[in-house]
Amino acid sequence: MEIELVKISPLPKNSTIIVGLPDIGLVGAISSSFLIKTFNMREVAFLDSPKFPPILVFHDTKPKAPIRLHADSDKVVLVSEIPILPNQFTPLAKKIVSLVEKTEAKNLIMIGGIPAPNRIDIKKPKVYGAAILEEDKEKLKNAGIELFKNGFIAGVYASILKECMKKKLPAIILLVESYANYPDPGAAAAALEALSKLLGVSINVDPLLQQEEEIRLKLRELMQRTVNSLKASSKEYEYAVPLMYA
Amino acid sequence: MGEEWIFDRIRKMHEEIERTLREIERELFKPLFDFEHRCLEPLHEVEETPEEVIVRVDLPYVRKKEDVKIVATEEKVIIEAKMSEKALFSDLVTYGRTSYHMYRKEILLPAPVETKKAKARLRGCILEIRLPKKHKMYRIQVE
Repeated sequence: MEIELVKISPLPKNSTIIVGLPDIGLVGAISSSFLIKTFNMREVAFLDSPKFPPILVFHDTKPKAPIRLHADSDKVVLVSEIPILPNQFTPLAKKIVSLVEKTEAKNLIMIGGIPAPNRIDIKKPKVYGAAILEEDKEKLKNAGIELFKNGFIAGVYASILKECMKKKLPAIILLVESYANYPDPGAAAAALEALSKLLGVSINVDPLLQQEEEIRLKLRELMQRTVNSLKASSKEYEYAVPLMYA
Repeated sequence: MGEEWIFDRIRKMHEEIERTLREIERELFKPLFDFEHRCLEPLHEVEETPEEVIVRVDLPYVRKKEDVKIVATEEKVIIEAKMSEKALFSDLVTYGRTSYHMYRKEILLPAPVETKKAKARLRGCILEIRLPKKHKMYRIQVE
């Protein structure tokens, strides 16, 4: 069943679309909500489907759908306050790709975590980048972001990347070393610094690091639900080694 | 006498399955706070290696090791920790519109452990407890 895009105001054309969904360490969700606050982005649309859980969230008395699009003049950010269930991966991926096409977006950039078993000993998490198009790999290299060379990407981001690959659309994913089962604002800060270099836009991550403990504490429920949903989304593949001569 | 041990074994397996199901149900549906005792339940993970059981617990606002109390038996660990700052949930009705300053978590272990040889460290508000297994694996030489 298709996902409906409910527009509140017009979406900017030729923008960069940034997708930060609940995933490993909630890196994407933390990053996208931080971007919305930092750039004071207005809500422009929300996504709805009969298959979504019956949830509405109130922020400062205002009712909001849990999966929303916020924008400024040249950026659109997709944020979700609920985990995306595996049966919604493909419909959501198709909706995002259709949004890229209809708004003639310049870039599609996803932000996610990659589980690092020694995260407790890592002070500055490393960010890797993967892209569909060769020119985007050059952009990553020029921004000093190491390319993700071998390994599986599973879950909702894999579905989005696959849809982009079918249509030869530009798509980049930033993957940062992260705790698998705890919200990781430190990893989100590292991902946002990489995004800042990639877009050539200044992003001050200090407020995010200052609120690190509060974010970790208050996102426990979302993290727990996300971990449960990840168990059903083939995430275990990310621990596997791909074929050597493919 | 004869087949009694089989029924005893089945009964024990049945009890074990029920215990596991209760634990899963509790983990999935229980809220992550205890209003009555003003305690929050921290996120945790349990990793098992051939030699040890590793428990990691996320304890935001717990900054001093003196504020952490760990009690362990062969089968479980109980963690209590005091936060350096109160966590305010004054705008959330479901949290009782109050503040919390403690964590408490009881974690069942996947294998019996030697509690006296356990070690713990607190780094970046993450508590890591390493508990050596009671029944270790032994290397068998290949002839």
